[in-house]
Order: sequence, then C-alpha cells, then structure tokens
Amino acid sequence: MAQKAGGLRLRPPRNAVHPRAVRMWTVRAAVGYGLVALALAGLAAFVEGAGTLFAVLAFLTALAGACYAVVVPRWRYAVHRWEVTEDAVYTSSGWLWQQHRVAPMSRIQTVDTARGPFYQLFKLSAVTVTTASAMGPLRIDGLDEEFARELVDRLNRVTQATPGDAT
Amino acid sequence: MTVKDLAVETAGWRPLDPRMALVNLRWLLPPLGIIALTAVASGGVNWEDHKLQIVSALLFVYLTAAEIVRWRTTRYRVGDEQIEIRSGLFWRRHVAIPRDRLRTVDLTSGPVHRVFGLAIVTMGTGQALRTDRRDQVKLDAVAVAEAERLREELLPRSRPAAPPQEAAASTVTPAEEIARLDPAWVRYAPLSPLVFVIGLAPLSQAYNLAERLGIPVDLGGAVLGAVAFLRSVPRWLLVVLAALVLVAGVVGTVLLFAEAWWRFRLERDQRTGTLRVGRGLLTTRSFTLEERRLRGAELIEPVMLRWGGGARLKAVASGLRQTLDGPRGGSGALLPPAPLRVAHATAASVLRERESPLLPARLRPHPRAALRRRLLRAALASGAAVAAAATLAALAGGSAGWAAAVTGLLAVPVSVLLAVDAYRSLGHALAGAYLVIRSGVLRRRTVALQRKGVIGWTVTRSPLQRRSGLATIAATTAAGTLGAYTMRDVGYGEGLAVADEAVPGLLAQFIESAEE
Repeated sequence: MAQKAGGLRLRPPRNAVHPRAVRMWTVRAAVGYGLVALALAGLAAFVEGAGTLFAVLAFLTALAGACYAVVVPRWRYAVHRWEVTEDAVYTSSGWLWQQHRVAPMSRIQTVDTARGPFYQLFKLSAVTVTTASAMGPLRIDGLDEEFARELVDRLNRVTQATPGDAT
Repeated sequence: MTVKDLAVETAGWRPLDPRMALVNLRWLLPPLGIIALTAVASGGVNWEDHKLQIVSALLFVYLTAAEIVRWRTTRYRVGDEQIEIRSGLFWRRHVAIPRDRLRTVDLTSGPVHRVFGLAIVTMGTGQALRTDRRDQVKLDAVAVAEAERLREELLPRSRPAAPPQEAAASTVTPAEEIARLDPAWVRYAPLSPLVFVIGLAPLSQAYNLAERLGIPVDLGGAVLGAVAFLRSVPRWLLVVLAALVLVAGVVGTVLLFAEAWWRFRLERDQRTGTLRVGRGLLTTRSFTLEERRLRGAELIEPVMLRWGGGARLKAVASGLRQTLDGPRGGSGALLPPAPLRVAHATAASVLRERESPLLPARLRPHPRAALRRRLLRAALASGAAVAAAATLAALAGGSAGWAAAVTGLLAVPVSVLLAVDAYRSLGHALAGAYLVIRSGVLRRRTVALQRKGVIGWTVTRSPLQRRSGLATIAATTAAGTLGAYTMRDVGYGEGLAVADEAVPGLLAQFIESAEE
C-alpha cells in the first residue's frame, strides 16, 4: 500500500484555455503598466526639482511592465489548465505554488461567467464554479466567449438536476 | 409607510418587544457613574468638567430615539415557507430566509436584557441571503417567552438524523443529556495565556480612570518610574508582585469561566433532531443546532490546556458561523475546557459513534521530510532572533556577542522543541465515516470530518514541497470559517491515496501512477 501510494500523483487537467487569452493578458498588463509609466513620465515633465526621480521611476515601471507582459501571460497559459468530466470540475494554476482543485458536480452551487472590458475586446470569458465552501470558487480564466456560454449551460443543467443544497 | 406595508402588517406580522428601547439605559450608566464618583471624591459637581459625560447622555437620548424608530418599523413573520423581516424607516429592508435553509437558532441575553426579560434571537443560514450579504439575521430583541416559542416553532420540522432502529430501541425521552458542567473543570480555566494578562488589567483600568477623573498621568514617565521602582525594590518583593499578578490572573480566568459556562448543559432533542447548548451566568446563551447539519467535531488543545490534560470540543457544522473561541467560547462550542477523556466521550455521543473518531491512536504520522521542513524553519527563526538581538545590543552600546549568545541559548532549544512538537502533532487517518486531521503546536487542532461532508479537494505544492515529495491537501467543506480542513506536509502519494479513499470515485480519475 505504502509503495503503491508513494507513486501516485495528479495528472494535469486535459485542456488549456484559449490561446487568445495570452494576447489578452499581455495587452491588459501592457496597458496597466503603461498608464502608470505615462503618469510618472508626466510628473517627471511637470514637477520641478524631482524630475530625474520620476523619470527613473517611469523607466523602471516601463521595464517591469515589459518583463511582466512578456513573461507572466505565457507562464499563466502554461500552468492554467482545466477539465470537466461527467462528475467533476478540475483546474490547475500557479507555477511556484502549484494548486490543483477538484469540485464534484453534485456539490456545485452556481456557475457564472465574468467578462471585464479586456475580456470583451478579445471575446473571452472567465468561468467561476462556486461550491458551499468558504474557500472560494474554482476559476477557469480565459475561455472563448461562445464556448464558455455552452460550458456554463451544460454545468447549470447538471447541477440543477442534482437534489439537495450541496452542503 | 405605504398602504401596502400597512396591509401586510395585519397578516401575521409581529413587532419586537417595546422594552428593547430600555436596554439602552446601560449607555447611561458610565457617565452617571463617573459624575457620581467625582461628586463623592471632590464634594461637588462642576458641570464644566463633565462635557464628555453630557455628550454621552445626549448620545443616549439619540440612541433611544433611534431604537424607538427601529421598534416601530421592524416587523417579522414566520410563514410556512420562509421567515421574513422588514425594517428601516428611510432605507427599507426586507429579508426573507427560506425555512429549509435555516441552520441555527441562538438565544442570547446580556445582563441588561435579562433585567427586562428580553432575548436576542439570531438565525443563521450559512449562506449569504439574497437581499443582504450577511449569513445571519437577528431579532433584537423579543421577550424571552416569545424567543423560546420562536425556536420551538422554527426548528421542529427538520427530519431527525437518528438512525430509526436506535430511536425505536430505546424509550425515547425528548431531551437526552449528553454533558453537563462538572464544577471541578474550573481547574482548567487558568490554563490559558490570559492568566498572565488579566492580573495586569487593573493597571490599565487605573490609568483609564485617572484620565477620566482628570488626574494628569504622564504615561512614559509612569513606565520609566515603574521600571526604576522595580529596580530599586528588593528581589523578594518582585517575586511577591509577580505572584499577586498571577493570583489575580487565576481569579480573573475563573470568573470568566463561570460567566461563560455556568449551568452548562449539552442535550439532544430526539423529537426534533437537534443539539442544544445552554450556558452562562450574567449573559445566558442558548445555541441550537440541527443534527443533519453536523459534519463532524473538532478537538482544540491550546498548549497550556494540553499540558494540563484538558481540551475543548467544537461542532463542525454547515451553516455554523465559527467565531474565534476566546475564554467565553465561540459559537459551536460543545464543551467548556474539560478533561480530554470527557471531550472524547462527548464527541462520540454527539456524533452517535461508539468510540470518538478523534482518538489519536489511529493517526498516521507524516514523512520525515515534514520534520526537516519544521527544523529548517526553527533554524531560520532562531537565526533571525539572534541577529536582531545582536543588532539591538550593538546599537544600544552593549556587547553584541553576549546578546547573540544569550538569545541563541534560549531561542535554539525552544524553536527546536516547537518544531519537533509541530511534527509530532501532524497526522491523518480514515476512521470509519470520518477523515481525521491533526496539526498545530500552540493550538493543536484535531478535526473529524464526515467523509460525506467533503465537497472537493485543493492540492497545493510549493517548490520545496515538490523537492521533498510533500503536499498540502485541503478537504473543502461547507462547514467552518476557512471552508477547508488541511493535511499539512503529507506525503504526496499517500495524501492522494487517502483523499481518493475518503471520497470514492472523485479523485481517482485525475490520479496517475508516477512509475509509468
């Protein structure tokens, strides 16, 4: 038993999210950092005496933003995977602190989608699967909009067919 | 008020008890007390000195007016399907709780409430209500008799969780006592860190009082003076002072224990399938929990209590709002600090098991790598302590070497002992219908969670855990504040095997063998 148990591990969920998500995360990060860098650059131009300080800060922000926008979205795409089987939802995320989460279909309370402005621009969607646990929902972040809608419909049909209050 | 509001009021809507506005009288006590005290102390009242007290009296008038408005505008109704509460003058609120979502009904009466024969009824659902993002609703306050009646009315519909054969075999008494207070348990009351703190409380109280009476106190000077005083007095007097503080701490913790647990009684109502805890001296609390919401039990052993052979016991239940369990015991407390043996016996009868699933005999230890992680943390912590002590000593012009040596001699053994104890605390087991998990040093917690109460798994691995073949595996559940009970630093493969066995058919589809 111990030897057999010692050799077990979780396999990664079968599906990656939509490749467009990488572009969306890149643009989102670039815009976010870009705005902060621009604001700092503006301060550098207008604040007397502290111009150099703000210019350096603006440059550092732009540099950090560029690194973040290049690395993190690809990283996130590589580790964020998901799978829906007949009786469970399974997700993985995190590179250093790897997290795998499983929720049985019979214990799902609600399934929602959330779409921020960048998601809408790239026709993407984030699916949130909530159980009765206070630990928070499972998220599948960056599915194709149309695909996500069908997935949510399917999950809602299954969970509504399950009696009880899923606790 | 609109016509519609008036119309519904006739159909079974009930008001709160008007005496609730009187409860505010307690706000009037401190200012009156202080004015009386100064009058006695100085032989007269100079109103110029009492602006603060006059403001608080005005505040009392305002609060009372607000309470009267609240009484006039709040109505509740118990329907067949739901409980509804309407309240608010400008900001009308309407809360509806479906009756089958109602998990707990608690009655609380503070000293002032008891003087007026009132009780606060708290109804817990465990889920955010649709009209209101909170998970509980209060009726503050109704007459005690009405509160008791409400509880009787709200909970008996639940299906009894009792196995039918067991219920049929015994002659069913409506209320079966599971545990009651043994006055000897008061010996566990001082086994709490509070025992060191309470004895110092009079100092801060004296400071507050002096400030209110307008006696100027230079706090910094007082502290320096106290230090100088302590240095000047003989050693034996220091020992006596420390003993006095400790004695005061013991008396204080015993009083707190009595206030929280006086007349404690845990009983099961066979008819309604509920557990009921009643307790309290000045503030009486009555807590009711449906057995079908019960998902297990948790044994809590803070370190001093553990050394003294005692433990606390809490219910693990869905919809139970878990509060921090201070000396008064949080919600869900099933026992006061009590002998370990009693805690196990109570756990067994609450869970309707022959033997407590919390017993440590079955627990499997975690891999040695978990011990190495804890020892590494101990080394890092003592290293940081030594470095900090040396730096401080050097800055203060003392000997950094001495400070480092003394701190090291103290910090290294303590942190290593804590690390070893933390490792020895780690354990997990499948015991019948329960997943049992234990961890923690200063507050060791053992939880027995019903396997059918597990509603998912979260497996987390840090880079270091991956290198040493460990994982942190959390069983998510609808019970508990954090929503999960966690096996820390369990062997990766073994943890997965336990999780798979605990809830058959869920995890197996995502598990593969590493040797393929």
